[in-house]
Amino acid sequence: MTRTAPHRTGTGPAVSTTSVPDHAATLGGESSETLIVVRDVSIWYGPGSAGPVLSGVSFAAKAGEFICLVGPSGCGKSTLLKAIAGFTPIGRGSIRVRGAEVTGPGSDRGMVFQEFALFPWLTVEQNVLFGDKASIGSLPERRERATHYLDLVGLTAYREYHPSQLSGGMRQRVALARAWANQPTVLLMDEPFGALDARTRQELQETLLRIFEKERTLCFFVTHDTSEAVYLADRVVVMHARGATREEVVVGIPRPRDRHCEIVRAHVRDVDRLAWDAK
Amino acid sequence: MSALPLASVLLVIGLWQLAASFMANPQVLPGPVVTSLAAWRLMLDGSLFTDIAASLTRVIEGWLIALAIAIPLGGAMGRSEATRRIFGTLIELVRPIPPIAMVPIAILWFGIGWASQLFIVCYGAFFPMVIGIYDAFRNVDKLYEQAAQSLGVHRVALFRRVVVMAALPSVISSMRIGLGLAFVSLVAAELIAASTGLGALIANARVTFQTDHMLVGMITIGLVGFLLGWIMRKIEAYFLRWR
Repeated sequence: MTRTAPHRTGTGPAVSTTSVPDHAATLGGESSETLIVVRDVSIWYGPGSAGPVLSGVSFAAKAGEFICLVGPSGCGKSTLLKAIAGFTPIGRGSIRVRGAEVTGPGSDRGMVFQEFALFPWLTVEQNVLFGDKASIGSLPERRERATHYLDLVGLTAYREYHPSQLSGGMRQRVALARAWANQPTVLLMDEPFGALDARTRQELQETLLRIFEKERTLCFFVTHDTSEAVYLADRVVVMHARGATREEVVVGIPRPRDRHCEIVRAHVRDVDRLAWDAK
Repeated sequence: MSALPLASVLLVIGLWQLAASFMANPQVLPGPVVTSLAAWRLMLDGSLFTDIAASLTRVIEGWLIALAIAIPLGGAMGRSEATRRIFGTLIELVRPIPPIAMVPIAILWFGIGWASQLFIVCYGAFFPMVIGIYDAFRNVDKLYEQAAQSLGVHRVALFRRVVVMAALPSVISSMRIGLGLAFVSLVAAELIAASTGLGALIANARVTFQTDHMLVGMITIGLVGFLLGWIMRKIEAYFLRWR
């Protein structure tokens, strides 16, 4: 187990030392393939707004990475995630996923929302099979797919239930299964466990990592909880106001991680210092 | 009906009997027994059923026509800013005019009879429904749409699979409220401009001083309205059993 010291960069365009070309490789299957390239992105809210919400943000993410985005509220981390999702139009710069410019929402970028956003009129299984890729195939194929992903989140017994019959933690498990069943290039998660109690949150973090270890889908996870970020991520990106100053902590600790061990706590202290001191 | 609602209904009937006994003038206030006998006679000669059928037919027809306009218009207003701006103010301006105020002009335009009644019923049901349906579609949670888009479901499929389903509960409540108001408007129309129907039964009884018939008409209106609401709630519960 090696602890990587916090890697600091200035306000320059690239955050990571492993700067990558913006025309990301289009070949599939390669584990080190660059999937997301955010280049010099600035976002303004409304015509009368004083300054940009995000200003000149750049970074890249590779296949198989788990990246957490932390920072104080209003730093623009959620805005950046929504921009990648295609919900928020960007004012300047570009976002590319597998080389294709993001112009709107699409199923290559799966979303998990803090409010779960399950469709209450559908059963758990119907929710999981809602997506364009999850819903293709014959009935037995779809049932098998639903079983596979519900099994990953431990909810196979609840396939005929409606979301209203489930607890908050279970609903978010269904949302994870639904997002994963559609096999996105990247999974975007906007404080997905923020509305859950501490115990449930830990369970969900473990479930999330279990699926991640199995499927190795690039994950983008926004949170304001720095210990959650260190527990989950390969890389923790710390954002400050408008995304102007960003630092990054590489967490090289193998999983499963012990939340309470000194090395994990040392990383949390590093991230905390970067997040709260350097305002 | 469970015990408590039944008890309250029975209590009112008891008080009614008491008041009628004190009054001792069936021309002013016939008691429940006298009224029941009158209802029985009206059932035997079939005229009560003819009136109920006439009223219900008009209500359903008018309500369906209003619905056929309110769903596409309300839906379009809820989803498009332009449609909202074209029709919104117009609807808010006409809406405060009560159905009863439309009766004279309806008679002028359509004469006394079926067309007038249909117009009044339709008018009475339309505005609450179009506004309710507009709200239902406008208030569809954006989160559902974002979730669907991130799952590769867009445009027509998104509308059909998400927007319509999310709006459905409020749309069905609006339909129920609309049906209730269609019924209220119908009685208003029948009081003035009809020879059959429950409103006409009351209006005719006034002319012939048959107060018991008047009460039969009023109570039947209450019962039929109650039944319509009950049926709509059952339909609502069936469609929304996921809640």
